[in-house]
Amino acid sequence: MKPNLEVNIGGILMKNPVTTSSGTFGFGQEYSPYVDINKLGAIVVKGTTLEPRPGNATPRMVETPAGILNSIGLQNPGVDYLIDHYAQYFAGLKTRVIVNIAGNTVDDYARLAAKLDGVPGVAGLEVNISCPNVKKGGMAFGSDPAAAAEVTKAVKNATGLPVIVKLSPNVTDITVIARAVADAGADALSLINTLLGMAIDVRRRKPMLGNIMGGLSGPAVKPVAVRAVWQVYQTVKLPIIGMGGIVTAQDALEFILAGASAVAVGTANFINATATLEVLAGIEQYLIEEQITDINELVGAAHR
Amino acid sequence: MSKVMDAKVLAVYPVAPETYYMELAAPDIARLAVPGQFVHVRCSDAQEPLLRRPLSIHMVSRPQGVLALLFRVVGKGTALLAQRQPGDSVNLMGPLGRGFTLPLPGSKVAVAAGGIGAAPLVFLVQELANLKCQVTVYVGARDKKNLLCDGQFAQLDAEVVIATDDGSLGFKGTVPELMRRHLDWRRTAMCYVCGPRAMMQEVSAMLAEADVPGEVSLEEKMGCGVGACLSCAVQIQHHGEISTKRVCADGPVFPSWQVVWE
Ligand SMILES: Cc1cc2nc3c(=O)[nH]c(=O)nc-3n(C[C@H](O)[C@H](O)[C@H](O)COP(=O)(O)OP(=O)(O)OC[C@H]3O[C@@H](n4cnc5c(N)ncnc54)[C@H](O)[C@@H]3O)c2cc1C
Ligand SMILES: Cc1cc2nc3c(=O)[nH]c(=O)nc-3n(C[C@H](O)[C@H](O)[C@H](O)COP(=O)(O)O)c2cc1C
Ligand code: FES
Repeated sequence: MKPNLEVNIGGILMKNPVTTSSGTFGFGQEYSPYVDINKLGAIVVKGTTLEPRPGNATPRMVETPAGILNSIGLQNPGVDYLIDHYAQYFAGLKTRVIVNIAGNTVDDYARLAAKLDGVPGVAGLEVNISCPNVKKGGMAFGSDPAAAAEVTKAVKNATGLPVIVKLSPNVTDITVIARAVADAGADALSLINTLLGMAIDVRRRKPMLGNIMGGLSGPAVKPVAVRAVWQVYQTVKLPIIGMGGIVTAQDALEFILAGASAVAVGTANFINATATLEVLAGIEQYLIEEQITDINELVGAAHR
Repeated sequence: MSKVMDAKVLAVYPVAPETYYMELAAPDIARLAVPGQFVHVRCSDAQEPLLRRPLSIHMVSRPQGVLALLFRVVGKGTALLAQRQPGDSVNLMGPLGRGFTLPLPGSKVAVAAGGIGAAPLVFLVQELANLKCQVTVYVGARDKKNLLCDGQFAQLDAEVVIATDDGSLGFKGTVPELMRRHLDWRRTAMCYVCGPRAMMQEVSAMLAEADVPGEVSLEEKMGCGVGACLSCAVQIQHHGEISTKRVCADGPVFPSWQVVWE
């Protein structure tokens, strides 16, 4: 018998728990030659801001052991462009589309949420309060519980869409932020965003990234991400989308067992364009082998 | 449409210091590719090095389904790739990017190749030969030992003019210097350039001055290679407006007059 793979992320019904992490899958179209994106539970698209942003100086990406550092700096064409040029495409997809939003001020987040409310094809918002690559906003909101709560409230008040808040690992205690965001009305949580890091070219004696510091992602961050999911699952009752270094179904299952209801594949897409579908197939295979009829039974199972 | 595949190594050997030629059985890519496009190569099955490496398509033989790469060993990824043996397989994604715009058949064109920048230009000169173009290739290198592809260009019936920094062969100096002396701009319909950034910038300035259209092939650090991650940003000027484009998906080839070099 085919196991049930359907999950509910704070009101977003996904036919399976596999999605993409923001900034690693473009708007979906970039990977459609390789992946039938309609087979995914959802896609989360590139971070969107009120105004278009040119992003940071190059080089914007360097490799580190089993990981990458990026300092893209939220390059994006702005929310109006997204609505004009992509909403129709999103509406035609047979998968949920979640738009990741970022702002410099609480008001920016509220205005973004209001603009995206009711846009066809947009199933939910992922609120990025954790980007390490922008000067204003971003991580500043994600590392202060009061500010994180304020952003969450403002977004909730501005939209009827399900609101997923994406947390930063660059904090002393992620559960404090998780609780603040949950109390402020978030419908779900995404964790984790990238870890602030840097790399230096010893020959040139200069930082490798144009922006000096960047966000670490890929297999290197997985243990940190699994730990974050484990801790937050014990703290709040919200559904969690787990991400950070997922390459294989095994990796994804670790997150699910730690408490994630869904998983996002990010950096792995760059290395293996069909990673998302392989993760999905592997999860299904595991459920069959373990004779589990519903994926939801597995969520947080390592705690029991 | 671009593909992901395991391609068998048919041959691999050094052609100059730290520079390798590799032939792969990749019929789908060979069939679809146009000059200037690249493949995104996995250099290891392990998680180190993690990312793929962009390498230009050096030559194709469509009837035999063969794809050739020419690469310089600069770090871990290319070092691992150089160790592959015939019979091994290499995972490739491609063809990716937008290639060169081909001129009208029979045109007189100039091609400027600096160092390893010669790699994609052999495929281009192959196509130009098919179009019966009159081609002059300006090939430059540090010294005679590091000169690449001059023989291949000559075999494709191009006029080959050589520059070396140390004067060990041909003109002593850089490719732009050589072009300034040698080239009759009025009789040149188009110019294609691939090489170090400074060289491409200098040739682009000469082209602008002479009012000759040109195309350059740019390099930037890449993540995805398909336009999704926005790592490979470059500033492009169009009708007075500057915008950020992706080398992998909007390029790597751009009109020389549109590139914002600073
Ligand atoms: C479109 C395109 C086509 C290219 N074609 C060729 C070719 O035909 N022959 C050839 O020898 N080289 C080519 N290059 C450069 C080649 O990609 C790099 O030399 C190679 O990636 C270095 O990898 P590495 O692991 O040996 O070096 P490392 O220094 O260990 O690489 C570290 C990281 O930097 C990236 N990187 C380093 N240098 C470059 C660069 N110049 N451009 C892009 N990424 C870089 C690598 O991909 C990797 O992520 C091309 C680059 C681009 C963008
Ligand atoms: C190139 C790149 C761009 C990213 N852009 C965004 C973004 O716009 N918004 C966001 O919330 N997270 C962004 N992230 C973070 C990822 O969504 C994800 O949280 C992180 O990469 C960890 O997952 P991974 O290890 O599977 O990549 C980006 C990551 C990368 C590598
Ligand atoms: S390498 Fe990802 S957008 Fe160009």
